Amino acid sequence: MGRGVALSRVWDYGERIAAIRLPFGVASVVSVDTTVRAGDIVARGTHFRATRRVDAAKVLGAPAESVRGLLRVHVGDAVREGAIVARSGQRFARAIVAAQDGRLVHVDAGGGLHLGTVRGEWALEAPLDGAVRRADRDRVVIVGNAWTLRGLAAFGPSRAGVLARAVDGANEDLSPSRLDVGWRGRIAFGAARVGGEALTRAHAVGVTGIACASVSFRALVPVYGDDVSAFGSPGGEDVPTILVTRAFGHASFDAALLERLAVLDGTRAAIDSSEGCLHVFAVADASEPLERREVALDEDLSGERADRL
Amino acid sequence: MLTLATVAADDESLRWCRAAALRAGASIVVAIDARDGAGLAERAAALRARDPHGVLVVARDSRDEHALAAVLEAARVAFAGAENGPRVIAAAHADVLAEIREAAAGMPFDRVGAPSADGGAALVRRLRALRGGAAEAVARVERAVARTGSEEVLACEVDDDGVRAAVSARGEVIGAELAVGVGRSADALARRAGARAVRRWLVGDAVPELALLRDRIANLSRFAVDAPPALEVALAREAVRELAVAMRRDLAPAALDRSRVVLLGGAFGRFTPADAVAAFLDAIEPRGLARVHAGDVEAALVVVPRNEDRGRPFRVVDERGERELHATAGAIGVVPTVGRTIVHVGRDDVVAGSPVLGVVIDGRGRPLAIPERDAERQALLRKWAGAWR
Repeated sequence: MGRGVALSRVWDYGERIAAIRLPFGVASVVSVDTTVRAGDIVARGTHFRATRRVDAAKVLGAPAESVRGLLRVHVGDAVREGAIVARSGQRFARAIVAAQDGRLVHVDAGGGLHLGTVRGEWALEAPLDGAVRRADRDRVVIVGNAWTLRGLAAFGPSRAGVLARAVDGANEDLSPSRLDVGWRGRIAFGAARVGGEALTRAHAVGVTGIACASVSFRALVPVYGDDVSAFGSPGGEDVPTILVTRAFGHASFDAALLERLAVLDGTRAAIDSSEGCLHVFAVADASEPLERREVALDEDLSGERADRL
Repeated sequence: MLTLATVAADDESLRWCRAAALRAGASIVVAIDARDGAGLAERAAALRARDPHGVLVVARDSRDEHALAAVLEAARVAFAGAENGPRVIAAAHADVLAEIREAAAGMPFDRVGAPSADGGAALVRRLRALRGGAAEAVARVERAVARTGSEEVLACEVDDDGVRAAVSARGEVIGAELAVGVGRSADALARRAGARAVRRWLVGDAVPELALLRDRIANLSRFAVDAPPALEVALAREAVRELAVAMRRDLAPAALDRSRVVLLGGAFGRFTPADAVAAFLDAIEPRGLARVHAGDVEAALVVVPRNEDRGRPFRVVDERGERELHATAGAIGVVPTVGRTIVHVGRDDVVAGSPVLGVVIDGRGRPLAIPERDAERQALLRKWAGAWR
C-alpha cells in the first residue's frame, strides 16, 4: 500500500469536499450557496507584474487615517491609466492619478496606496459538482457527491471534461496517434503508461486530462520542470493535467477499475489535482466500489512488477 | 515539516535565518531580502504561493525596521482571512520591533532576542518548539554528542525523515537537520540536489539514466519498500553531503573537520562497515585522524593526511606490532589490523579498540573531484571501491 494513500478503497461513491486555496490577487469569487458544476469558474484574479507605493497622505496633504475616505476606487478595483484614484480638497484639489492600467492592491496604515500593474488574469475551475459552502479571499469550499478514483499523484491544474476510454486493454500505453481534435474536452482514461509525446500531444489537441496507471519522469520533467515532485504538482497554467493511479515508471491500469470506468464512458468528470483524484458525476448506483489492488514494485523500483501487469 | 519564509535586510541577518532554520530542521520555502525593491503584490503573491507555516524575521538594528515592516505588511495582505495563516517569529532587540509588530498586526506573533546575543539559541528553541515532536530527532543526535563530553565528536544519521548531524564547537553542541534522506524524503533530496548528484555515486553496469532514476526515487518515496542497497547508499551519501555543505556555509565551518570521533547512525547502521565509512568519507570529506563508528560497530580508524602532513609517514600500531605507512596520492587504502590499534601522525594519534576494517587511508585530494563523464567517473569509483574488498 502506498504511503500517500490512506484509504483502502480506490473507487467509491460518497460526499466529497473540494477546498480550493486561492492565489493572491483575488478579484471575484462565487457566492456562498451557489450550485456549481465541475469546470465552472469559481474565482478570478490578477497576476501582478509590479507594485508601486504612492504616499497618498503626503500627496493629498491629509492624515494617514483619512486616506481611505478620499479614495475614488475600492481596494481591489481595476483602474485605467489617467483615472483619479484619490482626491482631496475642493477649490485647490490634489489628486493621485493612475499612471498605468492596473489595480489598487492595498492601502497601508501609513496612508500609502499600492498600485499594481497587471501581468495577467487567472481563473480557477470547480473540480466538483456541488454547492459552495464557503467562498472568500482565502478559499472556496464545494461540497457534492461523486464517484471518486483516488490516485497516487496529480500534475497540472484541476480540470473537468467527459470521460473517454483511450485504450483497448489495461496493459496498453497511450498512443499519441490516437489523439486528435476529436478528443477535445475529454478525460482520457485507462492507459498503462503515458509517454512525453502522448502527454504533450494530448494537451495540444485539447484533451482536458489523462488518468493513467503510470508515467515516467522522462515525460514529466520536460513539461512540469525539474522541481516536479513524486507527491504531485497541482496547479500551473497551460500545462496538461494528468492523474497517476499506480506507480512511476511502468504499471498496468487496474483491469477491474477499467471495467467500471468503461461503463461510465461519456459521463462528465473532473480531475481534482490538489487532492489527486478523479471525480465522476454519475448517480450512486451507476457503479460498484472497488478495493485498492496492492502495488508490487520491481526490485529496482523501476515500476510495477511485470508478473502483476 | 516546518516551512519558513525568511525575511532580513542585511547579509548577516540572512545568514542567521539560514542557520536558525538549519539548526531547527525547518525548511525555507521562500527567502526575502527586504532590500530587493520588490513591491507589495509581488511579495504577497510569492508568500501566498509558498504558504509557509512561519515568517522568520531577523533584524539587525532599527535602520532595517521600515524595510522589514513592508515585507510583513505584504504577508498580512497575503494571508488576510486565512484560517491558518503563518506565525511571525521576530528575532531582534525589543527596541527595533515596534514597526514590525504593527505591520504584522492580526498575525500570531512571537518575539525572541537578537540571535547575535545568544548565538541564536533562543530562536532555535522557539523554532523547534513549533516543530513539536518532529524536532526530537535532531535533539537526540545532539544529546549523543553531548554525552561523550568531548570537543571533537561528530554524530550523523540519515533515515526516512531526513538527515541530521551534530558537532561540538566552541563549548556547545550544534545540531542541524535537513528534510532530505533515504526513504520517503528521497524525493525531496532529488529535488534539492538533483538526480544527477545521486546518480554520480552509483557504480555498475546498469546505472539508470537520470529520468529513470527519478522514477525509482519517486517510487521509493511513495511506497513502503526497501531501497536497493546501492541506491540507498548513494542517497545517504548525497543527503549527508547536502547537510555538510549547508553546515559549513552557515554554522560551523571547521567543526566537521576537527572531529576525532564519528558516530554514524540511522541507515548507516544497516550498511556494511565499508559502505558506511566510504559514504562518510565521500560526503563529509574530513581531514586528519578520526575513529568512525557505524551503528554499534567500531568500523575504522581513518587517516586523511592534512596538507602539511603530505609525504610524511604515519605509524600504525596493533597487536601484531608497529608499521610505518604512506598515503598514496589519489587513492584509498585499507590496512587490516588486529585488536587495539593506534595511528600516529607526527605528535597526533587516534586509538580504537578493535576496528572491523582496520585503518583506512584516504589520500584523495580535497575537495573530491568527481568526473562528469560516465566512463571516467565509473572507472574512478570502481578504483576507489576496489580498495574496500
